[in-house]
Amino acid sequence: MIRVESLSYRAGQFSLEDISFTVDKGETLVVLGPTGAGKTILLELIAGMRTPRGGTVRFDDVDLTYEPPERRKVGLVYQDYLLFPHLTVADNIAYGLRVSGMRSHEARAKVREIALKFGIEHLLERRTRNLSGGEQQRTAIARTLVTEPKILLLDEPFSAVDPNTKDQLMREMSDMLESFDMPVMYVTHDQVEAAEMADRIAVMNEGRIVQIDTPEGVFAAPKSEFVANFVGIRNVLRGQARRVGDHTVVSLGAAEVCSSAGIEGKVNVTIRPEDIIVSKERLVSSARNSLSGKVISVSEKGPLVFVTADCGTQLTAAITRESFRELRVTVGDTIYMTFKASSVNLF
Amino acid sequence: MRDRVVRRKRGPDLLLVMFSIIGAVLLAFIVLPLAATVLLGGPGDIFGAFTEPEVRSAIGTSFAAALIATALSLVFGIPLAYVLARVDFPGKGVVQSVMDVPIVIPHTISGIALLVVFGRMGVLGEGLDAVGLSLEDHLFGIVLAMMFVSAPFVVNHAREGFEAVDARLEDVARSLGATRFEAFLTVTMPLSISSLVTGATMAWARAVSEFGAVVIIATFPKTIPTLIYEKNLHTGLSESMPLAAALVLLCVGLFVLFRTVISFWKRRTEGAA
Repeated sequence: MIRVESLSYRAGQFSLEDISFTVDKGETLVVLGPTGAGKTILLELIAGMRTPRGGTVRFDDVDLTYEPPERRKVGLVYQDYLLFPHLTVADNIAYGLRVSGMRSHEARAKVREIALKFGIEHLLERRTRNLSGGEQQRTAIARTLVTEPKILLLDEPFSAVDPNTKDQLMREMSDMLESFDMPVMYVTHDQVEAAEMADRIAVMNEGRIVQIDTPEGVFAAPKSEFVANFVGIRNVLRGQARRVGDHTVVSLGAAEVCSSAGIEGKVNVTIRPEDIIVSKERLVSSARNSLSGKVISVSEKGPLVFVTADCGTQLTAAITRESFRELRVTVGDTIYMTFKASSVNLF
Repeated sequence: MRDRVVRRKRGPDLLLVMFSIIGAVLLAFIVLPLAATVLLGGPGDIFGAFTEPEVRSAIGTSFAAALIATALSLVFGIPLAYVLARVDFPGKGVVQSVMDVPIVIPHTISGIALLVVFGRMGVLGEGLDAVGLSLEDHLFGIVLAMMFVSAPFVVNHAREGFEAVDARLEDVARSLGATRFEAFLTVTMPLSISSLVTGATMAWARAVSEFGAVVIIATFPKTIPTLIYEKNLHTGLSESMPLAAALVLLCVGLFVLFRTVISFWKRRTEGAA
């Protein structure tokens, strides 16, 4: 377990103040915040690449605040992965084993073992420059995990990955992290990513943690205007999923929605507000979901208007001001919320 | 109506043609004297020059002294270059300018400056004399003169090489368990090796060709430039020409060889899939 207490840091105009949190074994803490909030610096403080001004960093009650990085056993994977360009994939993964004095045949066996686990054994003799984003990411994480660190720090791991493969890779990473059963800190500025990966979320802004809570807590009950604005009003729900034919039906309280994701059992559900179409009459369309409900709140934010209705479960849709004027929706009206099965994200 | 494809033939790029012609003047200015020296030296005499004992000994002295000077420049220049590449400190610009001074001042002045400090009458001269290292007419003096004028090439190239290596790669290496020094040796050095080799090659070539600083400190043992200067002074142009031709061929040959090896190496380490 890692325990960070009142950590502070200053560099030029930038400062981190009063950062405190713990991450347990097998837990994933997502650090969520806008660019410049100090997320990467926080990871570097924990990994020992920067020296804090005050506070402590402890692993299993051993104070490591001022230890150099090589004596911490903290695995940090940067967002650009930083593979060693002069080494092959195999030598990259073997690096930590070799510098700690492991014999080369032993190291080779360990490298092969972890490469199989990550599905990159066919890349072992390749140079790193021609790897895809996803392959680089897996190599970087394998290189770190093979040294058996006490905690894994991931800095925006999907920012360099092709958006088309991101969802699948995220699911794979989620399973992989679970199998290693170690504390993980995961930095991102993407709310959906945070919701999918997190056991808990620490929202960061201007060098401070402004809220730390479960994903449902952060999304459903933001404690400040910043958090509310930053995470947006989102549909983060919990439900029970079962397969029916070629699709999945999810029960959300009194409502049922259709999803194209293939998971069963207890699930978290996210639906982006901008994916929901609002109408006063039932729409005839190809979308699998159309729920009716009474409008309980309408709020205007910038170019968008957020309409929340109780359709057996609370759902929020984002519509443009123009549509809002044409629809004339007010609190208490009955509306239809329509969205595709592929917009219902399960994890 | 059918689209008509208008094909207009592009004329030659006049600017590039003009610039090529003007540039050729400079190229000719360099190639002509060297080529003339080699051609007029006469092939038989050129090979004859290599058989003379004093020529062989001068070549030996020049190459060995330049090699030692380059090695010393690497030993002291690599740490300096690394600090310059990684640390921002007040006065860093001054340090960098100081390292360039040997390139800008006349080389005879470099020789005199070295004598002032390391010469028999110099500040450190007595101490050096006591341990048997005198500057004057000694290989040691030649090495120092060569090092003075060539070390900047090592430092500048090494610094550029180190700067091009992301410092976070060293951080990653350390978080994987490498010490600071291991990270430098196994990550930073291999990644900047081509800059280091280029710097060392330039420094070595500069050291071999150094005359001014060397001749002020030591006319013995004779280096290649010193020998040619003496021959020209005592026996005239016709006598020194075959030797000059031989040495032009030797130096150009070696330089081309170095260049080829470096570029081949670069392509292999950077271009491999």
